[in-house]
Amino acid sequence: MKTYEKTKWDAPQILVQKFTPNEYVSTCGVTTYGKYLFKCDAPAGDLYYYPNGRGSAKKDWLGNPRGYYGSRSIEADGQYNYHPCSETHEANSTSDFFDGFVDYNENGFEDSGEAVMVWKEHKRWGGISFHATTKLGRDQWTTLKS
Amino acid sequence: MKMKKKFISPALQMTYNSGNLTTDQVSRLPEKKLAEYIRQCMCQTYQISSDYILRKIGGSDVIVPVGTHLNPKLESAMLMPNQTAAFLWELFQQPVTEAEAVQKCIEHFDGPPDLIERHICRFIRELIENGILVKTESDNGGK
Repeated sequence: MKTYEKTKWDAPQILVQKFTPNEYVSTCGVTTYGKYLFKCDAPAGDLYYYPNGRGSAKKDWLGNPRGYYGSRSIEADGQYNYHPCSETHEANSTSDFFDGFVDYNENGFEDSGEAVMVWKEHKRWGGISFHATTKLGRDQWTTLKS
Repeated sequence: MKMKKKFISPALQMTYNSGNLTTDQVSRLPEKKLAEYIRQCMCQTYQISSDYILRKIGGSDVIVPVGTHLNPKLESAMLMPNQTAAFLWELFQQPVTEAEAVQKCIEHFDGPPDLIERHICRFIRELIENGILVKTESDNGGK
């Protein structure tokens, strides 16, 4: 009797190969900044940031940061109930800035339109405060030259 | 002597929340409405968007975006599905429910049914989120 052998199951995945033009990197006009004027203005919600950079997060086949099987985004640290303080802070350019997101739809993942830049403020008394802005590029921030 | 119940391996059945309610709203539905909502989710059928076609190129499956309403992330991109994704892609050329897709894969592939179910649930969610899979109107309540 002929036996029918099934194909081994493997998680369905689609590899995306994107054709992008070469990135142009300018080295002109580089300025050494002393401090940024960081305006904490991202709308309220559950705030997450990537301690090791967005690029280090696990991704799905479309490049979206992902956890696994619907669990929370495991590569991101979270702070619940973030509210913007709406203040402008003087943040040293060498302090802790991270890519992050405010989880407006509360699904535990970063979705389109949720990206923020996070500034982790270390208080003098040892506490930590998180601030976030929707201006993702540092060139969009006001700077104080040293 | 008290008869013990037979132990069955613990398992969770997963179904993609295809309705318009958030998980928080679903959790607060009264019992009858919750049962109806779950039934509707399980009967929901899906189909691959006509914006994407599958081609065989050099013996390999390649998905080519051809439509005008593409996810920007997929513009100028070629998609290469693995064997199981290609199988599901062919399956979803017609309106199919999640349960039917799971059943077909269990019949065709060798793997733990609960793992296949979880993978398909996630795959459907990702395809929908990226506009590749679309919900279709089912005129027979999911067959």
